[in-house]
Amino acid sequence: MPTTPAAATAAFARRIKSGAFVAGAGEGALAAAVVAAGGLLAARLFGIYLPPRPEWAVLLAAPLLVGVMRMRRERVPAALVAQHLDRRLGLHGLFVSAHDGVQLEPAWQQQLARRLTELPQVLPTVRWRALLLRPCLALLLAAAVAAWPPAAALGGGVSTTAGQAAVARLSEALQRLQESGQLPPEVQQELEQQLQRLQHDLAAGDPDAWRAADELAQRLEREQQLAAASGANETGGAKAGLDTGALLQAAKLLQAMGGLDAIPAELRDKLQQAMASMQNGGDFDPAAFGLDAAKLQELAKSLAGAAEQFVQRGGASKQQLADLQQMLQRMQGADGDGKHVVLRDGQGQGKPGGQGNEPGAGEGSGPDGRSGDGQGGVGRGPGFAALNLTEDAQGLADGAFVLPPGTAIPDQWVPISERMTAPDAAPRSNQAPGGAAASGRGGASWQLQLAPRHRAVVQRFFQPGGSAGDGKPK
Amino acid sequence: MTTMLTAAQVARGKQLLSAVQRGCNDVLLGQRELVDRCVIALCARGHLLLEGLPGLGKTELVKALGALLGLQFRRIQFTPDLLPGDITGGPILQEKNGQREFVFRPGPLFANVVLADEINRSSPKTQSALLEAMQERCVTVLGETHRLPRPFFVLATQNPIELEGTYPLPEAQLDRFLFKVEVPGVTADVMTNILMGRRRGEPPPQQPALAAGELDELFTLVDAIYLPTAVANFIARLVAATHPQRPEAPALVHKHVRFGASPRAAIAIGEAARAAALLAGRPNVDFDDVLAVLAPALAHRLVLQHSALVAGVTARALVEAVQAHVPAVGSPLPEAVR
Repeated sequence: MPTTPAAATAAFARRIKSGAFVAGAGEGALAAAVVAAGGLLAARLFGIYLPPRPEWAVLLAAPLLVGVMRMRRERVPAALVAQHLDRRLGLHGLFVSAHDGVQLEPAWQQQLARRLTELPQVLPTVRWRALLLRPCLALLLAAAVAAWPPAAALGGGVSTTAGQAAVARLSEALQRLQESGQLPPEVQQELEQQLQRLQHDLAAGDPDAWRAADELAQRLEREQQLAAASGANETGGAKAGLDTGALLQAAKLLQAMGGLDAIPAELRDKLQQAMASMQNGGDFDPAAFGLDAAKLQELAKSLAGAAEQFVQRGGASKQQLADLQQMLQRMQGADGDGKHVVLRDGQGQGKPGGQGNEPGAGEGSGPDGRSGDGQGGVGRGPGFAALNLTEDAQGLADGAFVLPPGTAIPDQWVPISERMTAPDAAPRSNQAPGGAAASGRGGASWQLQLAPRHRAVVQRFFQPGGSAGDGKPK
Repeated sequence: MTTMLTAAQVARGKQLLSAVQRGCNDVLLGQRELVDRCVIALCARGHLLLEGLPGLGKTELVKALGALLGLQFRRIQFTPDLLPGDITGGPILQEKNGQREFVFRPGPLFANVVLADEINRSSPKTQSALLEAMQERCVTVLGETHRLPRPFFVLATQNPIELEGTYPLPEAQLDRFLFKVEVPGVTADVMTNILMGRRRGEPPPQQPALAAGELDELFTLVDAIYLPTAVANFIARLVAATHPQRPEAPALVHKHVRFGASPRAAIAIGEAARAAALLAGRPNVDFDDVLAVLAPALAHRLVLQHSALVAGVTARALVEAVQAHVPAVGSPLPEAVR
């Protein structure tokens, strides 16, 4: 440690400078932190999220600058330092005398040097806690604001728990879809990518992620329905509801009426074997007679065709015709492929079958051999709907989302919602000139077209019992 | 380069002062602080005004000081009819060698130690006769200036009661006194000692404590005491703070002081602090030495407002306010450190 007054004075002054620098740096840090926090909060209020960047380290220059300025401003003169040292060392004026340049006798020098050995105990200490408490709190506040997730500052931010639950639900749905084995690989890959993107967006707190989650859920639902329909087609109509009992009854009826000649020989043989088995008290098992799903459909169509031919030949009474029609309707009522066959007296005509979203309706053939598409057909989920890019629809839960200007339209249309509404059939009421409402509809036409002096003539012309009979206006 | 006193010189000075101290303490029992201040004032070659009730030993203390220092002692009892010529002396017509001529006859003021007993009972004209003697240490009569013997001390006493028919000392007169010391009463133990040790109240005979030349040596040592710049600045700030016009003055001074202390007060404090430092065994003046002599050197120099009398604020209280207001060190450390 310094044993000369000059060195002790310098050490004391250095400690004061350090304290001043720390105080200034603390003030600078406090100001910078408050400004940064305020700026970030203001940006959040305006919906702007500023992620932390390395360039923000420039803010460190403020504390350093203020610290240096305060260190220079609070420079303590050496004479004042000597006074403080004299008081703190208990030298009773000896130190300030030495600082004045007075020549000390060796005895006084020894006394001075002995006291200077206690210099470390009397050097000023920086008030770290008092100086850095507020700046540290402000820095913590600024750091918290900077690290605050962006969605949280917008008020209705994304709940992490809800987002995770949504992702888990969608992931399970995708997994079930994959396990069904009906999902094409490219679709599966696309769905997985969408799910990953959704996870990322939810983690980032993007509020639009919820819209993407809804879209993905609808997409998965639609793919599930498509997969279910595809699975139903593969398993055939045997288990899908083809009424084999009705089919046998229809076959029996045709056989009784002698109308089985139109059925191909192979199918007719198997059908007769089945009917024989039924007569012997056995069950009708299509598989036992080599009738798979395709054969059953072919058999049903053949029976329908035979029935039509039989009817066209006039070989059936009305009662028989009604029974046969009932049988055929029962037979194909739950068929996943065929259409209802309507047998009419004297003529046959195909009619589109199926209603709306009922599954099972499909392509059918009418008596005139003309085929037509059914209404609805296989349910394909909510269906495709063109995006209605209007301002009215923006922001609704099931409404269209207006893409920002310049954004490329996604290559894949995403269904948003399906809605059935009654047509707007409200006609406009007639409005007479001057605001007086005319009674009835159409009245406004002649009231507008006719001059007031002619109205009475026209009214009388149309009044019953009036002079309209002669057709001459009065 | 200034050279500071050696430790041996300081010890020598302290030894001489201690001898005077002991002698005074033998005369005035139980008044160590009063004795210290008296010794300091004498070492600083200043005049002393003692104020106290009758019977506290003021006169005996002054007489003892004169005896201890081995100096010529005179006593002047100030009365209302005392004239300046009575204390300064004057020319008398004297026949010499058949011729008559005026010869100056020195008054009682021509002594080393002059006791001006009850100084406030004389007229201002007589009091002012002391001004030149106290400041210039000379007397001018009929155009002739006569030097007073060196050293020259005026030790005055005044009674704070029975003020009818008295003439308070003017400020100029008060300013010439280095110290105004209030003589406190004594305790019962001290009075017991007085009763047991003094017959008819007579003090023990005093022998000079200082040999010939030792007083000059003592004065030399006091003059060699170093007054650091920081301490001198402290004294200056203290005196400046007694002026109500100064912003650094405390609120009490602004309210109750009419005129502050003069530069002569600062000089007096510095000289008294030098003596106090030597008495404490230091080669230099410390801040504490200044504080030790501040009240007796400054209080009587303040001219108070009438509001101070009404409010009961004494000059000593004002000095204490100044002392508390002015820090010893020029300015405190920055807030960043402690």
